[in-house]
Amino acid sequence: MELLEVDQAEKSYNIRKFGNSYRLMAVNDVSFSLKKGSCVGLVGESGCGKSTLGRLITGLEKPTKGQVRFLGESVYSATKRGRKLPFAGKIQMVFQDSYDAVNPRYTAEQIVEEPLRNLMHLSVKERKMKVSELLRKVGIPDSEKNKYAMEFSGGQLQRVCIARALACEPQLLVLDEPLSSLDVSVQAQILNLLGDIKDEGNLSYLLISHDLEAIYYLADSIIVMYGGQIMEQIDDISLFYEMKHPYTKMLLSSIPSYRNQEEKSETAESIWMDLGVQKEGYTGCPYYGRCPEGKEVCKQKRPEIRKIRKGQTVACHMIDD
Amino acid sequence: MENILEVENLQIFLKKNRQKINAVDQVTFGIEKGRTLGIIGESGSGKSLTCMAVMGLLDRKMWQFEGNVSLQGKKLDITKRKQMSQICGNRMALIMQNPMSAFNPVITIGQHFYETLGKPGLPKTGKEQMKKIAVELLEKMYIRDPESVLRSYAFQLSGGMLQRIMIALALAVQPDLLIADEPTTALDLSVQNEIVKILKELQRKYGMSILIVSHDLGVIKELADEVAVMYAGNIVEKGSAKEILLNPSHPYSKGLFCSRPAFSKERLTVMEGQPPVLEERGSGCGFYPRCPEKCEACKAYFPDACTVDRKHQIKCLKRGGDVNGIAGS
Repeated sequence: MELLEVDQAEKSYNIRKFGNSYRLMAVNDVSFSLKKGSCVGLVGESGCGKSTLGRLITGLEKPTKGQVRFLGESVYSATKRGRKLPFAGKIQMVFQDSYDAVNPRYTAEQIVEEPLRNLMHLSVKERKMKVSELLRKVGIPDSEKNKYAMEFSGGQLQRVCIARALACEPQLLVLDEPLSSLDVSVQAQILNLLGDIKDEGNLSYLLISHDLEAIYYLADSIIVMYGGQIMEQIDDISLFYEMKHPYTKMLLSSIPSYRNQEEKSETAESIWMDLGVQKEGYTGCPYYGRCPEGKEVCKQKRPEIRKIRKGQTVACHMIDD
Repeated sequence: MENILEVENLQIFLKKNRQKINAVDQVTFGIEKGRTLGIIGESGSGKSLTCMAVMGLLDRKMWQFEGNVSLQGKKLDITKRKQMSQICGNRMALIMQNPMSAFNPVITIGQHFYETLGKPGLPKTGKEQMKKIAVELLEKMYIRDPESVLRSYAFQLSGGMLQRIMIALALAVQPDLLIADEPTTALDLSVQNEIVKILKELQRKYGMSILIVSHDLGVIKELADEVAVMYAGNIVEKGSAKEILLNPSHPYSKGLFCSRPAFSKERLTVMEGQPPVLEERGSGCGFYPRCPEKCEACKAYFPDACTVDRKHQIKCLKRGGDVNGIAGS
């Protein structure tokens, strides 16, 4: 059985802006699955719905349509008395800004202890032991466990957040831009740490990021999102350079690399996402407005996501099988 | 060629509990007309502090300065508020890191433009004229429907848009020097790419000089002609962009360039540890605890800059740096 199955999930929000209201399709008909022990990288620009998808998977938001299943069961269930997260300990999340993600009045020890206290039945002694074990695992020395969040540097606090996410021995970790607020040298430390943790246990990752280099490093498969929809998906990272969708190609070409010396084109053109493509009722391809290969058919009809070869699916009219 | 901005032995001290803590130490650099200097380094290495000091934005009560800053050959007194405020905005302009917090939330974007364009010291312009200039500037930044943007407030616009508006604001007065403090850090990859292109285009058009601070090596490679690597308040390596990016020599620069995964699955070589805390910097090399090539002498002595190759300068005992005759072994 797949560990996680996202089945035609859809999330829309009502937007009311100075009189005219519409529904914004933040996530639109997204399906994919995640195998145990693998890491899926989710790429896309801000506003494309990748964080919303992360929240759907953790059960923080309820999909408007479709389902998100974890080990065959829906992750979101509401009872009469309120919302329940049946997989709270099994799916954990690491957030982008670690300073915002922790209680500033808690020490590192309390931060990591909180999920243990809430979700696991352990004695106080066991709990303390577990906390120091976790902190050691992520490289925070015992002497620093009584520090408050403010006293840590960004990289250290991100480690504490990772320890907190690992506390309940989850099976799936949703990493929502875990690196983007960190320095380059600290990013490398965190990337190595994530790689080690993954190799150790049977943990799976969903890595949400716009840093393609980091995704390439950690992920086994990649999903590219645009305008709330999946544009391209590859099951094997070795197909990375053979990704075909025009949007993916644009992404690949816009990676600023200091290693190669070739000069890029210097003329600037507008490549901004038009939010209109996410309104309910828009039927064309969301990338149409920016696509260099766009034709009339792209404006009229939304491309179906289809397989073009083993391990690669693309949603584009212009790509032949 | 003549240097637009010249910074000589700039030292910045933080006054705390009647002590003076050295935050930026002996920073020296110059920017030629129409060229770009990139400063890279970790957070807390003093990059932004240097920029703020050059703009005269640091509070005299908290900070103390030594050294010289001169703009086009004329010495600036960076502690004089009044004098600096005539130069900032007219001849030097600043783009800040976080566009969301750089704008005043209670006035419209248009009012920001009128405020900047109506500054004393600039030729007097009517409101209609100012509006025309603002619309033109926004169009240059590829902003759709500039008229309605001028009427909106900062919180109604996206981060990438605000960043472009901030660049437009900075350019409104046609400065000689643009200081860009992490202009792309808060932005997306494709938006970042766009901002870089815009900056390049503008530089070509107006021939202004840019001082860009970033920790994104890709952005630096795209924009900078010269690069200075900062660590713990010091410029540890300085030289032409090509040379430093392709052939870094200081152990810190080397470590920095190795820590990006470069589309491979190989384990990253990591510089362990953290940069030193401000209060704990000793007299020796700031990189000593993390350096893979350290020796005993590094702990106690920090060498002056020595020249490797024409413009390429480096501060490291192991690379020929010299302190009062104690050479590295």
